[in-house]
Amino acid sequence: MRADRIAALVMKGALALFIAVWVMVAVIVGAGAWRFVSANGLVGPLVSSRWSPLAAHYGILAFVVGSMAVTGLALVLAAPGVLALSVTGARILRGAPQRAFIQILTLFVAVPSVVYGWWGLSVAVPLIRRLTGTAGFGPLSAGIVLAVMIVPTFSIMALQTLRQVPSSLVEGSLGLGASEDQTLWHVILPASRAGLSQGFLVAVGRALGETIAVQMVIGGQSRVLSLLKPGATLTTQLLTDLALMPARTPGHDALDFMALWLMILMAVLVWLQSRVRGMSRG
Amino acid sequence: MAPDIEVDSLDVWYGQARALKEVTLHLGPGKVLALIGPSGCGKSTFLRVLNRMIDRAPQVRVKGAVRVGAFEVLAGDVDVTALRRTVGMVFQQPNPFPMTIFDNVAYGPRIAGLRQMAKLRQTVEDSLKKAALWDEVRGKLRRSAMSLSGGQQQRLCIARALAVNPQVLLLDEPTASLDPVSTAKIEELIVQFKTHYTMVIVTHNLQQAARVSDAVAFFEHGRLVEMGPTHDIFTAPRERRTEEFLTGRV
Amino acid sequence: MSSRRQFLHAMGVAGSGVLLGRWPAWAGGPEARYITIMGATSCISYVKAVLPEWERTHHGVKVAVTGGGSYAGLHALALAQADIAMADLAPPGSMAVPVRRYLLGRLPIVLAAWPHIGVDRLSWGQAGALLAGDIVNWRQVGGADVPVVTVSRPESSGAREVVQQRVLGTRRFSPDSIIQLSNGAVLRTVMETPGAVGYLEATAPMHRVRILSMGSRSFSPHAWRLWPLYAEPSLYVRVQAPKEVRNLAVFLQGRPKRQDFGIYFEQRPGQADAR
Ligand SMILES: Nc1ncnc2c1ncn2[C@@H]1O[C@H](COP(=O)(O)OP(=O)(O)OP(=O)(O)O)[C@@H](O)[C@H]1O
Ligand SMILES: [Mg+2]
Repeated sequence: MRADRIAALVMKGALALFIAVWVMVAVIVGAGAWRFVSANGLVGPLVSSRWSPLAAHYGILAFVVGSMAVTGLALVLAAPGVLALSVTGARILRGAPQRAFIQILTLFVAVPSVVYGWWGLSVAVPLIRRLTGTAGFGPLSAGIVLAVMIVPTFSIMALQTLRQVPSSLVEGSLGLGASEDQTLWHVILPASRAGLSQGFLVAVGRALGETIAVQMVIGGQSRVLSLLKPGATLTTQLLTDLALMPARTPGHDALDFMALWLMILMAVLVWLQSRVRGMSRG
Repeated sequence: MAPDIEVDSLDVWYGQARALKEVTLHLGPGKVLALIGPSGCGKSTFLRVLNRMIDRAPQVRVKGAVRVGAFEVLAGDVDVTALRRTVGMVFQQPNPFPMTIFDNVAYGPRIAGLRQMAKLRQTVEDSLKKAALWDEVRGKLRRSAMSLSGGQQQRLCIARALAVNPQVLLLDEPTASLDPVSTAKIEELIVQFKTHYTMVIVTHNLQQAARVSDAVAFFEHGRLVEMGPTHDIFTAPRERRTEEFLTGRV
Repeated sequence: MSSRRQFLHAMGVAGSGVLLGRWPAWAGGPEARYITIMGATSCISYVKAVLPEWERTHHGVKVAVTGGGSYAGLHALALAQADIAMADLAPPGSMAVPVRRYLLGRLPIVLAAWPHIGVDRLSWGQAGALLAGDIVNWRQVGGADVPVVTVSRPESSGAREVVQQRVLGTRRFSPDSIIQLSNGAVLRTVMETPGAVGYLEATAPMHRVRILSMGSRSFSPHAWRLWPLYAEPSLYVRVQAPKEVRNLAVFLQGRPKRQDFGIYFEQRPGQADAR
């Protein structure tokens, strides 16, 4: 009885803290973004890529485009790996090897992002340098680093979803003369759509929000999309300029505005996902 | 057109556990065989050998000879895809795919390479008619199969199996999860299908076995205890174990 | 009903706690005294290395050291969020609070390049043109036929400020520069990227890059006085700061150990063992 009440209290406290933190974040970001918009307008900063905050030029176009490009690139590059790993882990391996496989993947999820950034400096940047003859720093390298980074997370979620597809569906398909591959493409993957799109969102969230690993290899310039020249994303620029514009300095509101745009990008994705799900249900 | 089935000294092991022991039987073309016996006696195992679904079990070993029409089922070089198209299967739990009614029935033909929409439509309509579902779903083919009732879903699964033109149907307790009305409809189908398809049906419902089958095979502990014409088995079983099972003294 | 009230209460407490950022104040109680040092990363290792010595003689005072860069440190100082700012830069003119400066010494800044460029020495004009992106191939300054890749630091960096003022003047850094956030990252990038050139705070070991001579001067730790390019890392304290804070600043200013961390200073007789 007593333990129950304590547990309930702890849970309520945790929930309260969670809500409070979120409200605080929303209020701070919202207020800063509001001040920024009232001073600089909503559209102007979005269509300009001139970022020179000390001179009061706050064009964030390059960063918005950079975030989307790097994330999109990462997803495209990660997709084959995710498919291969999740299918291997869910439908090919069994028993002890399967458990070991899942544990190893989980281990990779816990690798901190600096390590992925380090990997990027050691592998991705030199690779791009050799392949293209450029310096190797840019959105392409960042996309590769992010792809490697989201593969474990996305794969584990996809794997768990694929594993939950009932074997009655699989046997139903095999029983009609379908091959294992046909069954995978036409039954298992469609039946896992909800779980896969959930994993997709988590992957996008991680890619969109990743900062340090991207910063280490992207080059850090406000440039609208060249995959091979130094660029920047909303998060990397936030990190870079936080030291330049600490709280309560004139430019700081621009950082809130950028944070707001990160949230908007994510919200658009969540909305798109709910549309896709709604369609598949109908 | 329906093939006969011949099984000779069939043994199945799951790892160390032996699930079937020296099963030998013959079923004539177009006949309905009912498999009865206590739970765990190997009925499903036997059924799953006939379309090689047994291959999916880990560490399974199968020995003996099984022939379905022209198919040497256990031969290493048998075309499993062709075998499974010839030998359709319906499961205890209706298992429609999470897609539209149309796509469910069209699944098999599409997998086999049929792309022409007109032919697909015709196949789907024919199959649904054969499964006595057409009248209930006509005009709703674009709805999700999940929106159907359990009984309708099971008939959809039968239609789906029929759409690839099988010659043999394996039914593993096809009415176990259904209400009496739906059960009656499925039994009616089985009776109609006689002579067109050779059928093997697993059932725990002895009346059902009596109503739909031509022959009954009684399994116990992986052995085929007795097989004979349905009437004979129910009225004058040769084995004491069969009689005990039929009268409920297991 | 009462549980809902409890819940709202808990939420209110947690919310206001988080909003006001008062956790540390509660946790410390009235006895503990805190000093916060914030700012340039180039000073952190040194400050952290000698702090324990000061803390031993000042019981009950807790000192926290954080980075954030020179700008952030100075702003925090102005807003009374920090007691001591570490900065490679002079405080911006907009800073309203009167502060006192404690110069730590000189932090030499050197131009470093990828080892195989075939050039040892640049004129100041060439150095500026390289960093601005006007010279695009090392051939143009008598070196190997390798494209130039410039590496720089963000605008908040003190080293960048020094290079901007002393080397580039009115020109801007090349918009193709690779921006790295830390000295270490610049070092690694210059070391590994063919044709790269950047600037380094001369704190870390700098082998495997080529340190370029400027005009007639070559950098050597022993002749640091002659090297013309440097930042002047300093500590800043509010004029009205408590005695303890000023005492700590004086202490930090006086430790000779900072030379081990790349901060060079004149050793006058007697100062070396000043307390
Ligand atoms: N995949 C498997 N792996 C290991 N053992 C299995 C497997 N499938 C079945 N068995 C075992 O083989 C024996 C026969 O099982 P089977 O499913 O054929 O029985 P059944 O007659 O269909 O029973 P029920 O009436 O309960 O469906 C049982 O002892 C069962 O535990
Ligand atoms: Mg069974």
